[in-house]
Amino acid sequence: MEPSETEWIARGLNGDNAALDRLYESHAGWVRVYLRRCGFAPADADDLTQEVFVRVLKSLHTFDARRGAFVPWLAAIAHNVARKSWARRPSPDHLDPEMAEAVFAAAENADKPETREEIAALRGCISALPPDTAKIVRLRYVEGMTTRGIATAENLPEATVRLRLDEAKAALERCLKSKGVWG
Amino acid sequence: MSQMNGQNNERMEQLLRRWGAEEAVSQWPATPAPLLPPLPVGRLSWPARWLPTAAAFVFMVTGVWLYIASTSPAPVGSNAPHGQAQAPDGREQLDRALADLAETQRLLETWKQAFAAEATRLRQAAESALAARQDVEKKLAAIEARQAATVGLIQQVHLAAATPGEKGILTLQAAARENHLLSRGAELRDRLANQAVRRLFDTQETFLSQLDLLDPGNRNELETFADRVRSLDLGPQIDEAIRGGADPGVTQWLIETQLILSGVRRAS
Repeated sequence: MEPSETEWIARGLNGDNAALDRLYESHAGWVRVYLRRCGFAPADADDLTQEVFVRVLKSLHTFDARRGAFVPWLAAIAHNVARKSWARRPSPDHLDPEMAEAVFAAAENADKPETREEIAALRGCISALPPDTAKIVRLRYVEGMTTRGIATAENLPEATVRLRLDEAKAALERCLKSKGVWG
Repeated sequence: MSQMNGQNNERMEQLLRRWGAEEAVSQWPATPAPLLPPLPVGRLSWPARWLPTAAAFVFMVTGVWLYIASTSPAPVGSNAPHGQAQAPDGREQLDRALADLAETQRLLETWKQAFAAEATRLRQAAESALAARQDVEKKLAAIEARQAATVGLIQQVHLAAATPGEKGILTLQAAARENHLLSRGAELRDRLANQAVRRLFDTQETFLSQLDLLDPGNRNELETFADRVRSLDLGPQIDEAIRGGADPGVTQWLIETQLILSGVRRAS
């Protein structure tokens, strides 16, 4: 059985570098996506991810699993690092701050079996959407863009973007129902 | 397009956000872990954790004590001339301390005022947000009520079409009265956007008034009215008014009236 996060942390604190690598590999992606959605350029997001994990590893011995899970603790460090580097990011008008916050919520639920099943089914349903609609869905939920940002990028009225997102959600609900994963 | 209810919409939104975050993570190439500083092996023992802090504290206290000893004046009293020389210094220090105190009180007062202003601003913002929300809720309730009324109207028009003749016309007259189309039309007059919409509105209102006054038992009168309605094709003009951004209440009224008149065509 796969050890829990707390066990990886305990092993890391006892000198097991492979456990620390494992901790990094399973969480660095979330941190990077969070920083990108905060508006940092790719290279800056990479640098800041490294900075976040240097801080995580330096203060890992202060982490106490009885007081809360690892992901919120990691999220707090990532928030602090992002805030200190705020001046380095370009103006992120096209990005939705709510989508940045959604990253760590997704990370917390990523390993739940019911989430895995729903996400797998949703992936199939999205691939069946018309290409134009699927593109708008990706810009909104993968790139974390605002509807106004998408409207500008795609040269569409913002109302059309909202309408297509609503239509996509309705189509996805029908698709998930047909697969039996939407009760 | 099928609409989702609020709960399903929220659930789908959360699911899409999770999917989007996972997709975004999977698109990034893995990068090596940072070079790590050596981590402490296990937790440090009690003396090892507190000894550096205790040493720093002792060092700091010693330093402060040495500084005070080197800068404090000699006691006044046994040596009168020296004591007299120190007295003005003491008064100066007292004056400075009093000036500092006054400045601190002034700053404190400024901060208190700033905090009070900020609290007022936040309270006003919260009140505005609440008022806006209540306004939106009222509008939403009104829209839902009108939607329900329109569905009822469609059912009545359908019923009228299924029972041609006197009974059908009576159904339509009742539908128009129940939906207060004439009185609502009068209230909407000052919201007509332009001349074209005004003309359309006038025409519909005229026919509606005639329908209201029609004697369904008079076969000739009924046929004449039905012929006039059949010769009227206002559909394209209504579409144009909707596209032109007519007031939502006016648009709703035009559609409902058109529904009633379409019922006349089929029921007579």
